[in-house]
Amino acid sequence: MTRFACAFILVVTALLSPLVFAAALAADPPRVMVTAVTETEPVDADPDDPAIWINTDNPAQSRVIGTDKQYGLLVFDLDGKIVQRLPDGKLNNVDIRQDVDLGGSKVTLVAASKREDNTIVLYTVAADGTLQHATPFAFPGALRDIEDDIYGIGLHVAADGIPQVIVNFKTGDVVQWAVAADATGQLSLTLLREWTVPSQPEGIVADDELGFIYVGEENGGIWRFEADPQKPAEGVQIDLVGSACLATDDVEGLTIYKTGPQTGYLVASSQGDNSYALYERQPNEAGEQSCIGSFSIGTGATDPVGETDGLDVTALPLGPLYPQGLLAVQDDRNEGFTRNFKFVSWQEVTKALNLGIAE
Amino acid sequence: MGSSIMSLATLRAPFSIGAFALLLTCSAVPASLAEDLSEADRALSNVVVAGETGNGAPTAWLGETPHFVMVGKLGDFEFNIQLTDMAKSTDAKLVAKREYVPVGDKLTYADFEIALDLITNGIERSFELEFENADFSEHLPPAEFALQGENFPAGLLSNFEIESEWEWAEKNLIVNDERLASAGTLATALETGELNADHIADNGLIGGFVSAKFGEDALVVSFTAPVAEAEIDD
Repeated sequence: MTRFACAFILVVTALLSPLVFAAALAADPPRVMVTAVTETEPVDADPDDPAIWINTDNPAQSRVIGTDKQYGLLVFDLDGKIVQRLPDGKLNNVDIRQDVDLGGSKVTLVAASKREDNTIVLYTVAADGTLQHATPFAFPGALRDIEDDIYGIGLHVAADGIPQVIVNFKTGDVVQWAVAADATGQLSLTLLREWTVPSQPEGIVADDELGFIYVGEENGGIWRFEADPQKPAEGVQIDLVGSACLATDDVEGLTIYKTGPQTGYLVASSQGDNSYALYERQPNEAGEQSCIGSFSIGTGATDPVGETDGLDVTALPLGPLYPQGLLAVQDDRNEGFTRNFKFVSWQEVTKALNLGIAE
Repeated sequence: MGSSIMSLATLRAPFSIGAFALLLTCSAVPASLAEDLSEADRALSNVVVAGETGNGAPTAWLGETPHFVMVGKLGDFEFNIQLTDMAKSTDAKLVAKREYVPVGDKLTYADFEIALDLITNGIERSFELEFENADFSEHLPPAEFALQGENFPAGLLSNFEIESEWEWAEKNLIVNDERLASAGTLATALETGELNADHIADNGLIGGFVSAKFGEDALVVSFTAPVAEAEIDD
């Protein structure tokens, strides 16, 4: 790429988006590099999105649940070994909520988006981390036909304790459902709300405590919506592709690192430049959530992470290797022409970006 | 760094201008992260040489023996890949994939991909060449398609995108370069295979010759690749 061409791109970008141009003039947030602690076994076909299950009795025995878009779900231990395979079809994204009140019981709920039939599939997780199909297992992703595939999925537990599942479609449609269970444990979904984003989304994450739903528009940026389905789905765009932290498309996974009930970071994976951007979790008075930095995952105990996709993070300590929690990310270019997931100690992110969280 | 590669930093930067997408690659990470490559490292990364390189650039399709020969330049990258007989290539794997799109009650053969995984200089590299037409089955080989930017064009037109990817772990280097041909021709020469139960052909061979321009850069490619996969993109 010549300097002229880069300059040309910047000029075009600036003309297309004054916001991007303004952001470019501001001081760039820091960008640093960290390394992974370990990696999973290669995934046979096409991994995309992880979700972390916390073993509260023995955190070091927690699990990472990962989608394989050609196969279903794979469950990994923290050494990266596959401990369970669920051949349930083309599952694109996955999310988890633990200790959810459903039908009078505490349940750990896992939801995944299934592309071949545009359904939401639900699992429960046993005390040892084993996944099992919920009953029923599959639900339509929308009440009407939507032309293109179901894509991203996120779980949310509202202030009233009712769990919700939010899905998006490649068309930009977003559908929010309430999850309920009867006394026998049979699950049901009730439509709460639908809205759209301008172009193809994927990543979804809900901030249960602050009552937000974030949607990543792959070529556009990151949107914030009020999670309350009674409120209008008026999105606030907190960052745009082309900014210092989302230099190029795609915005992929979204997750939240919680340092307190209302503090922490929204973390977004930026596929085009192999990086992860951190935003303030709490909007300021103007409703803005500034990007405070970004990082890449370089060569260390593993190969680097390239063309990354989904991600999940927990702030809970998961044993001595993850004292400030675990970040799990998809790696699209693993050694041997394979793909897998990499596990990063959040403590390294804290140090590299000087986030000031006590060790 | 003037190159489009850098430490964990090479970026795909597609910017659509009108109906024609120029897929460009631009370094956009602060220099403090860039692990400067020496000239020797730069050559190892950017000059991709494999096989019997004395053969020069092909001027036509090289025949039915599975092969992949690609000669030319794309941005900072120079290619002289001469895998004239894949059966003799221990560090490379070549496969093709067909994609079909339902249109009414018909499946159109709208896309095929030629994918090469190759190890050179100890670096694992992947190349994917993707061609689109409204229905390639309406223009069986031999046929010549003019390359242009529109998706799934009707008639004797084709879209051609090439993606080059590699990761050099020792240097923290990731390359991901996608480009859309601005002009040139695709000459299809071979299409074999039998329809399976889903009425799509996930077997056989695809062969052809491409002469493509990417702005000031140009590539020629001759290929015959075994089809390993077919899918319906609905």
